[in-house]
Amino acid sequence: MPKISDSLNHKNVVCPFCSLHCDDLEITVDDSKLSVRNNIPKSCVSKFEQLNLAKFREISSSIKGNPCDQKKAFQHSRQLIKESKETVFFNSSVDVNITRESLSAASELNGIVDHVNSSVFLKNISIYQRRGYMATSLTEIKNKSDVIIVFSNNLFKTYPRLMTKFLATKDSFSINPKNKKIYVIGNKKNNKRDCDIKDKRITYIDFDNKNISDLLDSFTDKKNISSVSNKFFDELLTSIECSKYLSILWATSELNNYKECNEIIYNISAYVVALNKTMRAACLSLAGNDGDVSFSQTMGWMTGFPSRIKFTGKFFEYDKDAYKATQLINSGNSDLVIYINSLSEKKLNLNKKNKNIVIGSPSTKYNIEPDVFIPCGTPGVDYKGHVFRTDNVVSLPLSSLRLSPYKSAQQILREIIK
Amino acid sequence: MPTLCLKNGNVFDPINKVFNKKKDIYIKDGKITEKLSEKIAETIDCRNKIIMPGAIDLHTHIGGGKVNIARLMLQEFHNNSDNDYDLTADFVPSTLKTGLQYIKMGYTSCFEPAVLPINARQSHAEMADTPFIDKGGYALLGNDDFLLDLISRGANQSEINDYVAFILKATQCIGIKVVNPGGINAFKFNQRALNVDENSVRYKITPRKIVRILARAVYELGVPHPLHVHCSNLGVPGNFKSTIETIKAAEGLPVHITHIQFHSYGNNGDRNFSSASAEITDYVNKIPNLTCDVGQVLFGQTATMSGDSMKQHANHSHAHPDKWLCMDIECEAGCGVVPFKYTDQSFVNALQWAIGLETFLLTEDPDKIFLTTDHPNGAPFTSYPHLIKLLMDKTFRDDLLDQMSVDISKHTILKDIKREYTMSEIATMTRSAPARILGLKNKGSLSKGADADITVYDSNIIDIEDMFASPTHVIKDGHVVVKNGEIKKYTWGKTQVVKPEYDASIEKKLKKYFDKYHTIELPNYTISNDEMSEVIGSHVNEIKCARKRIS
Amino acid sequence: MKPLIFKCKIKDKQRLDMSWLSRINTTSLSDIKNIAVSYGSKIYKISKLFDVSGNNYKNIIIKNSNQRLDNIGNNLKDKEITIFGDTGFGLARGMCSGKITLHGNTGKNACSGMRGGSVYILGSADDGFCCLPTSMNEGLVDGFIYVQKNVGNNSIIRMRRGNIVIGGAIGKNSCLELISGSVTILGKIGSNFCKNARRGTFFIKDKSVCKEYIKANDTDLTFYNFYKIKINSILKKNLLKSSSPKRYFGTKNNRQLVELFIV
Repeated sequence: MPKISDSLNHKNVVCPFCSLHCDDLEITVDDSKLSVRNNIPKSCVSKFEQLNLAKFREISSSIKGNPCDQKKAFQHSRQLIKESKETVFFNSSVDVNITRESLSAASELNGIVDHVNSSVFLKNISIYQRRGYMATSLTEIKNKSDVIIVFSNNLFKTYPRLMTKFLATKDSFSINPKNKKIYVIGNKKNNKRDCDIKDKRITYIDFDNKNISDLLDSFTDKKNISSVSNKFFDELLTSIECSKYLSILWATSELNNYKECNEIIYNISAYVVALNKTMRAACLSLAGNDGDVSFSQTMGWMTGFPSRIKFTGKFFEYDKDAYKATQLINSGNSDLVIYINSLSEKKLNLNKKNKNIVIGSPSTKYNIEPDVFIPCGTPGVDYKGHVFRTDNVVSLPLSSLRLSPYKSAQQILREIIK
Repeated sequence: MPTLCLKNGNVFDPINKVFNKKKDIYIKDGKITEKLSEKIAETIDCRNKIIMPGAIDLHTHIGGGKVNIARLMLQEFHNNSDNDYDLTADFVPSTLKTGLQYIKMGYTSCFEPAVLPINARQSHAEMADTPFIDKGGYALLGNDDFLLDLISRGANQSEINDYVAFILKATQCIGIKVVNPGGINAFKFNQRALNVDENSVRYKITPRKIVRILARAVYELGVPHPLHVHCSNLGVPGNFKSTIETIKAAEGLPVHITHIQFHSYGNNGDRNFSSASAEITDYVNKIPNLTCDVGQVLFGQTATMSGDSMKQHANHSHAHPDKWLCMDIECEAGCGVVPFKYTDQSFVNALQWAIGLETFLLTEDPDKIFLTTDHPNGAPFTSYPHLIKLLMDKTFRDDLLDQMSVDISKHTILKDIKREYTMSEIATMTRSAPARILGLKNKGSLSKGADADITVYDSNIIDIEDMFASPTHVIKDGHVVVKNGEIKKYTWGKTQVVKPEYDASIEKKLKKYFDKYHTIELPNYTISNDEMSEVIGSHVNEIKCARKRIS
Repeated sequence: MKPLIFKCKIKDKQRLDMSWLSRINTTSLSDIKNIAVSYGSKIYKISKLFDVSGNNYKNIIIKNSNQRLDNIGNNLKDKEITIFGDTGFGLARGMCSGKITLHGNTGKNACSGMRGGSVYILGSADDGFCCLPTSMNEGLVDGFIYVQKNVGNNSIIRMRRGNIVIGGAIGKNSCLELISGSVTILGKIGSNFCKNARRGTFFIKDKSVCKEYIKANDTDLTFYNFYKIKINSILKKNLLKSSSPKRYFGTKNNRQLVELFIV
């Protein structure tokens, strides 16, 4: 590993970890150690700091859990690829350039490309594939939205700075920020705990989010049939009716735990569309934290489909069932799975029925030892990249903060495919 | 790079006033040169062939957020079994297919007209993944809160010029476009229409003022491409009046009115919908600094996509299939995607078709009007050869008019127009004229030193549509990339940009605004040349600007 | 001309997209054998994957079929396909006309976006039967479908037109947002049945779902009798037996014009 003795202060660093991609970080790098200078939630800081851990700075490639040099790992990977009858590229946390590379690799091997969160973002996309949709973005909410409704059970844990940086802000350009009303509907205990700020503008309402459709019906009919107390219901209804610009936020990944998920997101969207006949309102569905947006957008412009395609010689085909990676893995249809996980700390669930190659950040966790593990650098820390923010329109540059002993995921992919 | 000679072809090179002249063209190092004395690596026999510079499309939605939304929204149309390309539909092709289809038609430069500054990275990334063609974008201004606030507070022109120049640099664009001036912003405050002389509720400024100020900024900064204007009241019957008022708003400064067909509607007749192309083209012919592209409508399924969220939302009930998306974006602008099917059974659609053609045919100077369908809003760009045939062949045009399901003959003067475009006029409107209006000195021309982007057509093919659809050779930067319809080599074009100078003090003001109100930091808003080449994947080519001042 | 027979001889476990089947338009056996298809990471000639015989591409028989063969009868036009064995996903997806007979079970999303023709599934159908095709808003547009045994969850969504006869049970979340059409279900019906339907006619045996509907006093059986004769004769079985079914209809909860006959 190269010895580096740089002490550099980076400003306006884009955080690669959650899909809010806050870009106001100030990070000092000293001998490759990262320290975050901003006063931001611990959970955010720890994501950077864990990259400092000695065990993650000198991890080597391994074959079946036995450390080996990179060359050998590459060779073995090439061998597995050569022997494979069908390869799945299972993207777990990626940026635009890794997606581009995994598509290009899959086209070389006639492979299948999928993302771990496909089921969720396909649901999101299906709203505007089937009906009307009014969307908005975070700056718009910050500056124009006077009434904000957030359906959340755990959102503020998943997106730690959502409330402070984007919703309950000090300044707004087009409205008086003091008159903002923010309603957080869902598990009150969790929400209060996770949004650890005192702000009179925020109202927490305890509600079982599986019944969101009832609440929306109540708003439409102006008659409360939901489990929200009449006091809160009247307040909500008045706020909505008097609002200049209403925003409704949710995360489909969270609502996906309910079997009514599809119905709920369609109903929220339909409600907002109906409101727009006379007033202004818009939705924002928050994306997952595994590069979902970057992945689906890049797939979109390169293939026309958001996920789950298979290359077939000259071209490719899309099939959201046949090329669903988990299904292929569980039923043993594919014999080699290449996991690409450059950021996430989520545990990868490998299946021993097939061969597994993991190209992952040094902190990648898995249930069983993969056939090959090749550590890669983290985009936004070790090398440059390009990510999309949760609202689908804002794309931000990831910078390289330090010299890394690891290659980038795209470079590794290029080398093992050639 | 091997040398190349195109021998004995009939050359059309409008910039050099060469029309249908037998000439040999020599190419070395990607440029057109004088006759070479050295041994030439490849000679292409161009007897009975027509040689033109590579075509330029100055208004085509090929990259950016809304295009991608449309691609994902309309997956059911991605079932093209045409084996030459991937599955994506012609009106929302993937980036790869976009590049392939353009180059196979002999187009070598294309410009995305609606780059939202905040979304510029995506637009450039998509265009970077589009092979062959050179590209560029126009940054959207005129609905962003920062600018409207500046104007409403009476900021002086130089400050606005600095802001416009900053945006051009930050977004790596070649021009500025204004879409429904002030209207998209007004829609966010629940205004549903905004006429040229109507004050917006929030900023108390009129579209006229916005157009005037932006046109002046673009002019004074010396940006070659004049302000690209998408007028107010898109698609509204009677909107020709606001189009004329918007033209007047520029007060004689150069402006380019885009997809003018959608803005040339009268409200006469029993259907309250009529052609006002005569009134509009009268203006276009009269005013020297004015150019326009048409945005021709052709029948079939397509998707309309626009930054004009106000009008797209108003039109969403016409969506076919029934789905749509509108979005308010980052205090800058918006977008609306509404799939649409133009049919000749609809009186309005049929008349739109005729209005577009009338506009083409009544505009006298082919230097002032450009061939576009506002891809994909009027039709996909793959229908350009069909459109050229409509312009060049009166019988063909009249036959189609007669076969139409609805009778619009009383509502259009199309049959009375005898004009047929000549090959020279087509060469002008698709090559030299767009190159000139964009300031691309090395494009659209076969002069010595120009980029060797060349299209060779087979004049033995009698059907004009077929001829334009399948050039025998397409040369990009000196490489033969298409030969007899087959791709011979993949190349990647550059991104054309302008970077006028400005007073950096505007960045301080912007930083204050960003720190307080935006959700990202100013330095991350800006795209550097290094980022373009290293991360996004496209090299930039800067076109020089010469500052001017209005006395 | 002899029926075109494909006998599957694939031993590997990869899935195979069978969309090419609908596109065959040649009677030359050697041309058919040489059709290139992508299987796993390689491109194969059909003859490597199937024993092929016969030449009538309008009458295709698949033998030895298994649940890894996807998209059989995808966008099928004017052909008859008979399948022995199970099939994978997307049987008869977007089918326009013709006939498919399956002697076995079929995988997920069978008959989604079907626009015409008839499908006989002499076995069970998995989840998502007659579901919405990608990015579209209508499930079954038209056609006749018979499933001899059971059907999985999330089936028959936004059906626009056509007739479906199910001999067995149907899973949860079925017949949602029906626009129109007739559905016969002779087995048990899972929860959340027929939610947000606008119109449609059901012939069912499971009485548990009628609770939410209004019982009709006098019942006009003209349509039922016509339907009964028609269905029984198409299927050559005495499936609908009742001569005096009870009729229910719905006006609450948006079930405006839904009719149920308890047969």
